[in-house]
Amino acid sequence: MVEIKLQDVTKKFGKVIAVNNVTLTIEEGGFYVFLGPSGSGKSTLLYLLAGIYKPTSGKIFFDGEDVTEKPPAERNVGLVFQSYALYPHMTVYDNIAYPLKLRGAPKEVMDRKVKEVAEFLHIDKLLERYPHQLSGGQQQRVALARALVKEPKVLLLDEPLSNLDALLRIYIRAELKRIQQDLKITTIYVTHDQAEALAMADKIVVINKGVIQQIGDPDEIYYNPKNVFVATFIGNPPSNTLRVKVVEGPCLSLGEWRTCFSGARAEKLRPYVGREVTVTFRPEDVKFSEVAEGEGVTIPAEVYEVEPLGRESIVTLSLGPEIFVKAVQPLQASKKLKLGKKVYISLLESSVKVYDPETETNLDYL
Amino acid sequence: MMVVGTDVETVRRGRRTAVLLAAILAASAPIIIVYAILVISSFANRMVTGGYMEGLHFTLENWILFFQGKLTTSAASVYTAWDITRYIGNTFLVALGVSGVVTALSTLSGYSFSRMKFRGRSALMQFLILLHAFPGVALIIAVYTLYVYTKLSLPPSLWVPYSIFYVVVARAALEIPMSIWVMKGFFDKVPWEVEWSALVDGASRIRVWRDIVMPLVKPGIATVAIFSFMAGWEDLIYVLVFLPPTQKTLATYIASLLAGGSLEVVHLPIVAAAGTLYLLPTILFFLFARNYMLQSSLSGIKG
Ligand SMILES: Nc1ncnc2c1ncn2[C@@H]1O[C@H](COP(=O)(O)OP(=O)(O)O)[C@@H](O)[C@H]1O
Ligand SMILES: [Mg+2]
Repeated sequence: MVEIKLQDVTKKFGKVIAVNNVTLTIEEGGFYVFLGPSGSGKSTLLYLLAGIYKPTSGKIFFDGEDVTEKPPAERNVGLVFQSYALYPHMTVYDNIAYPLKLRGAPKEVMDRKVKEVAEFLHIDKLLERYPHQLSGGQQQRVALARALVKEPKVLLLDEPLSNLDALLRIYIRAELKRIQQDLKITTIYVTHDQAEALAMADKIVVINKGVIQQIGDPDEIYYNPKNVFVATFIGNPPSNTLRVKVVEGPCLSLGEWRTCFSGARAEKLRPYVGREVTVTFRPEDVKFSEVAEGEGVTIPAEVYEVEPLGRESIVTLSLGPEIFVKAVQPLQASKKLKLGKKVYISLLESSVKVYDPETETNLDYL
Repeated sequence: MMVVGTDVETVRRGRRTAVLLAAILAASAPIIIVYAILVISSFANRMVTGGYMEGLHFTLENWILFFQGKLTTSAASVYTAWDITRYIGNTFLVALGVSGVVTALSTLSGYSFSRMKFRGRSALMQFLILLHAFPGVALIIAVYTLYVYTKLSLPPSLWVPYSIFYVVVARAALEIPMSIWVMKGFFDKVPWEVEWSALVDGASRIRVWRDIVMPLVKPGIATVAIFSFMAGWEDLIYVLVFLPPTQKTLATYIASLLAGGSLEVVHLPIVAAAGTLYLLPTILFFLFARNYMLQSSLSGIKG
């Protein structure tokens, strides 16, 4: 268990900047999720921590010790690759025992530890098999066992569930979190799946194009996105995004609709009067009514599409030509909505996030 | 609708395979028959050429005579048993030498071509193909010139070993371009992650190479080793050109028996024995290695 610090870490591959000036502290025993779209530099960050890649610039510390120049062998990290990277020519037993063998562990110790971790992960019946004789879920466990058997200081998991089918994924997700809590091992979990991140993380680190967008606990990330990227990357369906005009008041204005701000938020919005800003709001915060209500933000809209999803439905509303907004409605309520029906949607002022049009930063964070 | 009974896809594939197999058999039948005649005749008192069985009996005499260096059942021998031993030894020397040089060099350079990015890598890979496409015979003039110049700078006592060494290196050079391609292909199939995984598990670069990479490309090494062994074993032209007439291999020995009308005086089943011995690696390879290589290419590297 260690505390990990990254200081201005940059990694370039030729002209591609895979990781851009990342500074981050990972607290001891925490479950951190690196969340970002494919190609955002998540794997590269993990490989930098493992020592597979050396940073182009910047430093990495484990418990205050500079490990930037240390080879992987000296870092004692457990790494589960997205492809699992099991040794195809070794049995499950030999795969798990390999890290111990390299340390020159005596046969009995090796035997005991392999059995222990195999039982812990319910793969003790598979020890004689070869990787190609295992299902995806079993391979994943073997890879995890191999990472855990050396009692690493930090566990790095690169999209460990992405090759499994949906049901198994949800099951193993819960189990992985449980294992982490039992072992209290500092863990970094990489995923592009925002639901996985919200479900598992103590802290989420949102990454895009090699740059950290926001660090925070799941609530913070979900309810107070720091920028448009975070707001639209997280949630299913993701936040609605609109470009609206700021008019004297200060008020947001879109067509006939107008919403005015007061207090601290008004002060932050005032400099933007006369310009356009970006706003986001979550689909589940959108309320419907058949008549215009005076309170909050009220916008006339037309039902464009209804997608029932079992417990609830996703309703797509048209606010004007080419302007669509998604809303989540309970299934019963959504059944009454006919396509083309005129409705009014309302939003609490607090659920509308406003962003600087250039930097796309949430004004609440300015 | 459920299809009860045999799977449609399987039936179709089975039939296609059967047709293919029949075609291959038909096409290769003449070759197989000729080889069969050769092998059977080496154990008979005369050449077996068809259904005519009268007076035919089987014996090991041809083999004994062959190893004694005799060419007929009666006349005094031209070659001694020691000659034959030397020739077989030379054949092994050349074959093992070519195999060793090719395997070592193509494994190392295959790894570099697969794993290292350097300037002109793909150009060099294409150049290798070009090299492979050049017929070895065309090259031999230049290679011979070089041979004569280098040989003359050595004391005459070293000429024979040098000629064998030269055959090995020159013949290996012909095999290396293609072998590098083969090895590169096998290294390419080893995922980076598997190597990295071993590094993270605490292995040194050397350990990764020994414990992980080598076992995974073993089928490739076997392939290259076997094919280059056979290339050396079977080579005629390089051995003929570079080895002095006193130093033969099985290939040049058989060639000399067949040359200049000597066919009419030699006892053919003895030549058949020599031919069978010459074929032996191919037969052994066919029996054992085929299964191994097939397996490795199927189960190969998965997950
Ligand atoms: N070994 C490499 N060589 C060149 N470019 C690379 C290499 N590894 C990653 N990249 C590039 O760096 C960026 C980040 O990649 P990666 O860390 O794999 O993203 P993620 O894991 O988030 O999908 C991508 O643009 C990718 O193409
Ligand atoms: Mg990745």
